Amino acid sequence: MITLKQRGRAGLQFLGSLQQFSSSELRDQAEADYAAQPEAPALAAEWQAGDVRPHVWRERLERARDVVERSKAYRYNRFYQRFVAEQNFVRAIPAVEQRRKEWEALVEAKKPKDESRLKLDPQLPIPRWYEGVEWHLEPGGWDGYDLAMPMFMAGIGPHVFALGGYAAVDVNCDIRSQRKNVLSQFRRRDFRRIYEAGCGGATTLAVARQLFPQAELVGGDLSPALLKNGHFVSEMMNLGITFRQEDATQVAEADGSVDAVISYAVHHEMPPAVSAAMIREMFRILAPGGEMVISDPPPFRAVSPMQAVILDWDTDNRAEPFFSAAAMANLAQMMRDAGFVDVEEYALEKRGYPWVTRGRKPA
Amino acid sequence: MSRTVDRPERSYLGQQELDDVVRMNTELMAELWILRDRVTVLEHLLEQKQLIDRKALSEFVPEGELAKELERERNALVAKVAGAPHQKHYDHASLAKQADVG
Repeated sequence: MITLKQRGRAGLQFLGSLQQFSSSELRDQAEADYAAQPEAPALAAEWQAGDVRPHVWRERLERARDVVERSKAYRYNRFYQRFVAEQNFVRAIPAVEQRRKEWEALVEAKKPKDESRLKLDPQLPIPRWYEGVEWHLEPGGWDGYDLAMPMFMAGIGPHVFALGGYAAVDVNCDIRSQRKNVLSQFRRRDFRRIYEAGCGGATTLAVARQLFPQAELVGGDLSPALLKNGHFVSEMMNLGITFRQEDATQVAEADGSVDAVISYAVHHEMPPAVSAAMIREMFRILAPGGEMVISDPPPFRAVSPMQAVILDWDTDNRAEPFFSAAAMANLAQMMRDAGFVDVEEYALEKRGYPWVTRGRKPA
Repeated sequence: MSRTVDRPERSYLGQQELDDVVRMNTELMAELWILRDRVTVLEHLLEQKQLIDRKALSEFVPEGELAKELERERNALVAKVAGAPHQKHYDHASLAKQADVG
């Protein structure tokens, strides 16, 4: 992997520090300010009512937001969150461009010899909900930048994201161990074939390779750029993962052909109706007795009013168009409706993240 | 796909101009850190090559011409930054004086 020049590295490390400060000291102060507001107990009681319709959530969230925004610490917290989200790309793109030649030489030298495990489909219809979204404020979205992989792996990933403190990811958490912890939520360990829906690159499946060394691993995603990156990493690390460009609501797997399905941080990036269709499709491809584990940000009903306001903020301020809709939905109910049994949902760490929903297809 | 992300039109701090000022301040903080990082790296590398002693650098007291140079630079910086809101006009004479600095 390449390393950035001093200016690029130090600039991104600054953003990491600013994000940490914003999501620890300012966040703690904002929570204390919120707790001192006279409306806080009534809002907390209201939140216990659980599932309500989206328009009721919207009305509740707006009332909670009015209370939360009284805090100066909160307003600065949000300002810095937005600033860092933009600056991740403003600083990382020039930094990685300075290493373009080195990166291109590395890609050429490590070019995968076996292309059979990468199946792209240029004719695949791209769903309208997905097209044109510049996820997380990244110019051009997932497929908009040919150096996205080194930008994340050498820049934003280690210097900013790894520190936590953005969206549902709590500050100072270990995002690597979280992934391993999520994959450990499968009840069985004897899977022969595991499918990841909306895999992006190889991040989750590389961890799956450690926990399930004998299993055949397959990942599907809409983004050709992310799949190519995943394939590059997989071949370089001898992970043997197969990547397919496909829509998670209609995948190229026969009925009952996989033993386990994982989806990691995907549902908040799709409309709830698509989530439901995807879960039905995963039920179809699972063998009897097979398992599905989902990890995503928590629903509004599972977190405090203040945390819900913070999650809701991402929708309009960090280019996450479906974040709020997903947080109003109920993945566990979608799984039950699809036919899953033994469905459970719970948080692995504080502030509700990672939020796990898991179930089993009847044997 | 536009490959262009728009800056937010909304204000996070209550007033757009305040957002602008804090944004400028935060950009400057980033630049300040990059410079401090670079100086620290520079000192480290020079020390590794036995060209400087970092302890001696901290203990060093500027004297004579160097002390005067630093004073001139420092005063000019203070006057430029602290004086910015009070600058009613500019003219050739005051601008020409700045040529002596830096």
